[in-house]
Amino acid sequence: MRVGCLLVPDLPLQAALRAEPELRGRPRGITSGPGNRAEVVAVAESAAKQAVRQGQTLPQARAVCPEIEVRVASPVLERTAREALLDVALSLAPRAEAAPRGSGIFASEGVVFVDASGTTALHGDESSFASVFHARAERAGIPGFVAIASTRGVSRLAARHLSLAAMHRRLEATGPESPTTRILPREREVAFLEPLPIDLLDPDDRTAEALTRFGVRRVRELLRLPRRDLAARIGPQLLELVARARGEEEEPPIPEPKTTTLEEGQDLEAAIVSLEPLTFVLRGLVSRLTERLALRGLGCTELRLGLELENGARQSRRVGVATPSQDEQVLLRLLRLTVERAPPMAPIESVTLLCEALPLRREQLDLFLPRGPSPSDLDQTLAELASLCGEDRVGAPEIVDTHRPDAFGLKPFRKPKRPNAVQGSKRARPARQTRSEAAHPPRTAPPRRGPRLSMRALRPAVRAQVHLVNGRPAHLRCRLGQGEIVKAAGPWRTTGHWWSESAHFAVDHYDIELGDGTVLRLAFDWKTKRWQIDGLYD
Amino acid sequence: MGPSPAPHDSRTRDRRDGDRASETAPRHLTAPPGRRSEALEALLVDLGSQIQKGSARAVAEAPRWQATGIGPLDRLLGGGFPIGRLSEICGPAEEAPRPALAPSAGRTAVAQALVAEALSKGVLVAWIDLADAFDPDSALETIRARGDADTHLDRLLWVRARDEDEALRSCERVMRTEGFELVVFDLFRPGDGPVAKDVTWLRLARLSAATRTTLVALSDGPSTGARAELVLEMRPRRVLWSEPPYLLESIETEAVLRRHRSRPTGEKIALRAALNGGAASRTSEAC
Repeated sequence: MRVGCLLVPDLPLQAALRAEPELRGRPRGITSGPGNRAEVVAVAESAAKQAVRQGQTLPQARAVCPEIEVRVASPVLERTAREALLDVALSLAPRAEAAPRGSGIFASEGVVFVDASGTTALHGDESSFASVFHARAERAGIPGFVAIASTRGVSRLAARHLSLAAMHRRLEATGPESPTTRILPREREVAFLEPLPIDLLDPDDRTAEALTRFGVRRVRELLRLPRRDLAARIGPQLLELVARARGEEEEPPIPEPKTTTLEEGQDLEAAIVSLEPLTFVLRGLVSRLTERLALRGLGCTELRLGLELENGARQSRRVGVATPSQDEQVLLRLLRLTVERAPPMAPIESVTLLCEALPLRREQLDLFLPRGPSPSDLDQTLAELASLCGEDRVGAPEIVDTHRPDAFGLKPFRKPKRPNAVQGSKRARPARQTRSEAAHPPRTAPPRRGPRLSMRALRPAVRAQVHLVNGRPAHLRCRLGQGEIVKAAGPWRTTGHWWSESAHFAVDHYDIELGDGTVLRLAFDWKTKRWQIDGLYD
Repeated sequence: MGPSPAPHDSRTRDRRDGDRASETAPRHLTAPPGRRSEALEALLVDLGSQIQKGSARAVAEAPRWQATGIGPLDRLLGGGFPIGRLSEICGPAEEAPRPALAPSAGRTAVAQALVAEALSKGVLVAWIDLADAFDPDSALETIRARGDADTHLDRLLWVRARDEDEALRSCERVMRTEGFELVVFDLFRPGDGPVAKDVTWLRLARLSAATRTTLVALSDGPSTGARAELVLEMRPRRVLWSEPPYLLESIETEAVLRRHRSRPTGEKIALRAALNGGAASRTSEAC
């Protein structure tokens, strides 16, 4: 197996620069926390040239570089930068993994491995593959060093070696430009490893101390020692170290990740109060998210916006996207409308954006049906309508499976993918009937010389006073008017949910005609003992 | 009696009018008979681009129709409701003061027939419901009465606006979305006055033309003024009940063409909006 390794030596710094690319090139440092006691954990090249080093306190760093700009290390930014590294790797090959922290990886490093076997058909040779890998990482805002070797350990060491060489060259400002990629053929791996210091193999503390006591400082010296005796003296962990030094470490194959949930987030330096700066932050998050989606050929189907507020509360908003989309403007607009619809109740301290993604698919147009709106246009329209009228007031009508007279449903409106509505294609009528259909079952096919009589609902129902004569409605009075009832049909009793005190309903319905030709649906609610008008035939 | 004008005065006036007419008349009419063809050719050259533009526009804007699927009504309307134009279905115009409870005249029935016909062609339809009166059961029954599938209702966007401002803005937003070919703007609220001003209807009519959307206003009484291309007035005639025990069967209405750009107004037909089934089959239900 051939393994490609992308190593980013100063991930906290690169993660911060990825979020604020306009600060690239300026002296900048990342500290472990707020306050003067915090240590510098990552330093930009321009600050390093002015003798700012990792481990210095903030006052020490400011003493040597007064213009240094400092940000506190953000776990969210680092986590998302690691995920973005994995996305870069997955854009090249289906099998890739992010190296877990602590497994030979320094705390400030970001490392991702990719299975580079069989990629020559796409990229020509391993050198081209490594160049593309490096270029894509740089384009994603996380530049690093790429090495390809037979195992994860050797490729990681080779990449780290490249990064150290580059750092020395930058600090000394001498010699030619150091390379950013390296290919290690299997037969040259031992020769590469021999001159390296033992520390690069990342031995545990006890082993490192014992080897230092023996005067073993380089891999070459370690390999000369008798392996069995060393294992007896120091412990079995040394055998693992020797195998790593020989490039013979046993490793499981690189898995093929199936997750399609992407996350972006940002901790804010100062709490956000108004929507305008929040939109600015969201723009950055969505921009980074769409870049990652483009790398993996995915489209966003759902966004979940998480807001951490100053009062300690957490708020979440869900934004559905009708069709997988990579369009930054569309996603941003949907998010903005969602926040506008229900603005947070307190200043915002942190923003996270979770994206559920699916592979992009081209829309299949129908030859015989109108094209309809594009998914992004439809999404924007629906979001604006929901923002304007309320989310529960926009959608496609839905027949609710109940006999409750005032029941109606509204489901999210989606553009049908393959409408089965081609003229002439008829579907069998389902068994379930609507309420009115149950009351008026069709006897024959209706004539097409006139429309079907429709009902207009009155929401809420209009309270009415009804005068009865011989138990029949004879006169109606309500806020909309009054009149004599010239004809009345009914009652038709509808009851349901008798097992529930709160949901129980029992209604008598009448069709009535007033003197002026108005035909109404009159209802008597047995629960409240009240008359009401809940519909108008029109 | 006043003095009569002198004969020479009238001749003078005629001559002056003649001179003015010759100044303003087209050259091909005023040119000598022998040179009229040349003048006409020169005129065609001068106006050529405009003439072509005009003819192209005439072809592009040739009205098409969104049929209702009700034969007599479509014939009355000259094919249906004009696509890319504002139309109106309203109740009787002459009643004043208008009663809060409007008589059942079949306005909604015609609008739902129009929607069902459009849905059967696969287009997306929006129902902007200021009245919050849309009844999904009723719409589904209209669709089923055509023999179409229930899933047609999935292509109907129902917007339940809470006030006039929301309704108008929703209507404009939907019309600006390419793909919604029919928008029904239901502003028929019992007991409420006119919703939109004339300038609003003008804007909606222009938007309708620009987006090629059929916009149909559904109102109690005429409300779109001169902005509508077509106004269909529905008048109630009588309600038909079955023999005792009385059961509602249908309502008879009269559809009057109140306004139409290309057809004579005042034409009317009788329509009968019937419930599916009839008196004898209606039964009570309980669950």
